[in-house]
Amino acid sequence: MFDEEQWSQLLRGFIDEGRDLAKQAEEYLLTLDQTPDDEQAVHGLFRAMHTLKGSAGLFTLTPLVNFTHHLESLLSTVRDGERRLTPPLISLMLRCLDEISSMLELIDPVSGDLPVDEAHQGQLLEALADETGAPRLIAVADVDDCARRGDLDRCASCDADGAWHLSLRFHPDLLRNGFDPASFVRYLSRLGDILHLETLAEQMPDLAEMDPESCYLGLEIALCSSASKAEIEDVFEFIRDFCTLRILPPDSELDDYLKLIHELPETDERIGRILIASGLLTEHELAEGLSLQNEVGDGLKAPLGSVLVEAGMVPPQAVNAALAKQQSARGKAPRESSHIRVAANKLDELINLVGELVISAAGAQLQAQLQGNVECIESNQTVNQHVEAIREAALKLRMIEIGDTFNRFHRVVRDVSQQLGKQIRLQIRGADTELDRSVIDKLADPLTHLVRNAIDHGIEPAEQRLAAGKPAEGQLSLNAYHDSGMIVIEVTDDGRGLNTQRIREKAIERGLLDPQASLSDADIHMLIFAAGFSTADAVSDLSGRGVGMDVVRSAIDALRGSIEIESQPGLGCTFRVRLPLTLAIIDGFLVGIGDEHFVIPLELVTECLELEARLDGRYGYLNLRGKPLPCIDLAAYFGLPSDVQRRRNILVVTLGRQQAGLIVDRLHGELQTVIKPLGLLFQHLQGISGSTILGSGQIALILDIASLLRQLQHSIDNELRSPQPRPDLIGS
Amino acid sequence: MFELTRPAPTHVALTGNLTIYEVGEARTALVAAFADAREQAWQLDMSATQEIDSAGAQLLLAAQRHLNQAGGQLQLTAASPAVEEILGLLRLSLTAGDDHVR
Repeated sequence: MFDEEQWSQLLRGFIDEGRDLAKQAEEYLLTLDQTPDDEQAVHGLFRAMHTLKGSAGLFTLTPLVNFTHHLESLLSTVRDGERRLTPPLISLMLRCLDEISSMLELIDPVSGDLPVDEAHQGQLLEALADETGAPRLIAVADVDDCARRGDLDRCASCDADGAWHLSLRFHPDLLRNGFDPASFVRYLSRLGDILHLETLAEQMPDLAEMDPESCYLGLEIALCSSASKAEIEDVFEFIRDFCTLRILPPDSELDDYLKLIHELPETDERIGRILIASGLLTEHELAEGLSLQNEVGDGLKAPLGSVLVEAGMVPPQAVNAALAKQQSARGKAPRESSHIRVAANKLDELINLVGELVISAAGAQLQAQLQGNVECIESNQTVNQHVEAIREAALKLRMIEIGDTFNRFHRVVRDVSQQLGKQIRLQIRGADTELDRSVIDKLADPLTHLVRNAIDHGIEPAEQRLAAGKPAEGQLSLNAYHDSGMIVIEVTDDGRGLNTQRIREKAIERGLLDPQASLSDADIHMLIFAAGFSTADAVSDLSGRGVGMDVVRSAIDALRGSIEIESQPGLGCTFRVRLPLTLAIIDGFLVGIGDEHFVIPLELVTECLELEARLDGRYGYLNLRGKPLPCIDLAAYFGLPSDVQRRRNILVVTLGRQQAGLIVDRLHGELQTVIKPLGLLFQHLQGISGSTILGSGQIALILDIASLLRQLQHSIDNELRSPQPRPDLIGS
Repeated sequence: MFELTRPAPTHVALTGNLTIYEVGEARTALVAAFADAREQAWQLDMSATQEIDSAGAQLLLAAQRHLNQAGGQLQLTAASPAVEEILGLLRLSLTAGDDHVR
């Protein structure tokens, strides 16, 4: 049917879909954790499991089918109102979802094999069985009392006006697709009282010939309910493709019942008797109606579709509901097709090509300028404008909202706070902030560390919080926003804040800090990012193992980002991460030192000045409009010969709250830069984050401003300290 | 897991589950059990049936008809709560001489 290649492609598609479904299911579960009565979430959850089971079945991934089957059955009882999702059950289901996710990852996309850790699954299923041993009925609502009186024409326990009549005929494949008619009856009984129900199986062959997995059943139901027609129809939403459903509203005209009798495949007498039994028709009405119809003859054999169109058959409200439904279905169709799935590597390929295009267009423009041909320069400029537009558009393709990444922290916060017995509420702001996919992928781990750290060390246990006059429930917030060409992500807690004294002691103990050193509080805080630093008095399961914050630091450095800490003792702490929007192409500012070219990310450049004073050594201060500006002489820093005769320039860069001047020989101006990462050999280089190729074919190095500024700060601190100790340190 | 036992010549007992996963096997077992005595009054013990769904209920209905057509009967003598629940829900009865399909 399929060759191996196609099969494996389909399977990969399924694995992708499965991941999405598992993620959706997790989101629904977390919603239900907050609002247990959210029916939409229950439905969504059920649908996700059901779809997953169905698709897994197509690929004969039996272990996955079996496992999801258990979850699905459980969820169908939740949906039918027989069971409530308690917090322990939600925790258990979350673990089951984890198992599903790991199963998805274990599927071999080529062979379709799925190795299974049966012991672990067995444990989960056992726990599930324990948890669900006896379904607890929560919505009985006098059904028994009312339903037993099958021959009443009105139900005593509700104020609805007469009964709905539902005729259901199931598709033979219904059961094989994992649906159970009985569960729909159960669900229906939540909408009202089933006054009368009859199971039909007229078409069922003899036991010896039947296919027991096919469904031969039909149901005739009299339902006393105040629900609308749309609501009743919604009960059967899942099996719309697998059944024919006819609904007659209460107190329909005799004609309508007669039409129904004719429409249904069973004999007129059979259906007639059911309607009489449900109290919808009297014996007399039926006899009269049937004889009347026989006279009218063929006219009534019209298909249901056209019959329904006849005026007055369905009440206007039902028509409106149906119309609204159709419209929403129509509205949905284009929206669904407005997204296409593209493999990430194809996008990367496109971005790479655009990068090459940027370089070659710059080369062409340079050539045109050298030739001095005005037409040629002009047309090259137009090309360049378009290239820039393409670059922007291509980069936008990879922009995704950070919300998905944030949302996964609901789960992390829930798990970790339960583990530690703390109550924590997670707040998310700026979930729609867009960020390059490659950045988001690499951001998940450092963010997880920061969040866990905040929960573990930042937020105090409830008793301590209450003692400190804070609410028992801790607040943790994730916030994302754009700020001058960078994206800023903040992890804020309202916990105890960083213990400056303790960090200092620990750093000295670990040999990370000279006991004589005088550092500002902010600098001491930054020490927690040093490798091998840990202040947790109790090493917990989660963090405090001494690895962690240095990992965060290096992950963020790798993204060309920076991190800062804002801590207020007793009030809380904010970790603020600044990241470039994209990793591939930036707007840069080209400068020259001697014969070398360097690029500085344009968004960091605030101004350019002519250098008047001289600087001794690599670092120093210059006077910028009356304020001291720390400066680096890049020529001295990189050990390059500098053209001392020429006047030199200062480029003022701003990163976060830090400002510094870079002293260079020449300013060449703006250009688009495609960043090529440094090879392995050069990755340890300080101050350089990548390279790029100029239009002339020359190589320019991209400056890592964050690391330059760190070194600048460091050496200035050292210089200030070494000649003489600051007064406040004397005697300490 | 499904098992059909025959404690007496016209007495069958179903243990384990009777769901969409088991009905194929169950049908074969039932047809074989009934084969030589379709005109008899059979007793059905489902006290040890754990799970049952609509496919199972449908199979019971077919089994009952299968016997009725040959002049026999199928009577449910014992039922587990799960069996009672689904038969009640679908308003199916399996008592002697009462083929609910009139």
